[in-house]
Amino acid sequence: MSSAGVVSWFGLIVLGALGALARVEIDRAVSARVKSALPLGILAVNGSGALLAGFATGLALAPWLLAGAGVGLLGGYTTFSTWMTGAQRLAADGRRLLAMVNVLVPVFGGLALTVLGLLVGRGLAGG
Amino acid sequence: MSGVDARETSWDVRLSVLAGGALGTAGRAALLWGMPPSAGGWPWATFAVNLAGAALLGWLVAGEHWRGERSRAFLTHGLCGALTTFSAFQLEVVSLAEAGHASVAVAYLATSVLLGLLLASAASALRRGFTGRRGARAAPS
Repeated sequence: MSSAGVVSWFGLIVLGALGALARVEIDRAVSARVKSALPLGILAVNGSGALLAGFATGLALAPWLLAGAGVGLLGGYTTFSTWMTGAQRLAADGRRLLAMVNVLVPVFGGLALTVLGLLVGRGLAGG
Repeated sequence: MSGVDARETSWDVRLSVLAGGALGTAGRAALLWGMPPSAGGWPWATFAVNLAGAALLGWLVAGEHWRGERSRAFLTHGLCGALTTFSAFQLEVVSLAEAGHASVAVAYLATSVLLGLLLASAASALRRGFTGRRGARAAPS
């Protein structure tokens, strides 16, 4: 592997680690302020991450910068596994309606935020 | 799982999240490198890490004997959290739809979520079975 390759792998991994820490901090901050049966902290993390990923992609950044932001930082920041186990736990507790809300709101909200980010990014890049 | 508790604010726990996050990101990036996404094709790398991470986390959180906050933070918030991704998943769905592959986009979205829920539930049930604990479902009272 070239030295540039090593540097970019290292950069991705560092950014992903920082993204993961940011997720824990934001999840904790949101969950401490808003009491809810829904995992709102993870919802906020994934929603904001989807918006930012759309935005970064829409801006048409240089490939290395987009990889750092998308695969590294936002990839480590957002999470699929915690979302799934959150819904699974609600369903296992018999809170089926909340479980369904916790699946469907991120799906459609995430798509809407991703598209919004893309459009804003493209608008800025093109204008 | 939100529900990050007060003990998870110390620096050793933060370092564990960073270390697990680095490992998870490395795993995800390696798979993306090995299975680069093709235009209009199924995003296999993200699909694989998301489902593997959902199963692993379902297994982990169903266990009741944690060796400590650091290993918990490393494995759950760090490794599983960073191995899996929501932002790339959503972006892939939007990109597929935008490129005219609407049916692939819908199939990818639906199978990711349904299989993710199924695997998280199955792994969790399996773990509870192994540890001999009563499942949450068996408590109607």
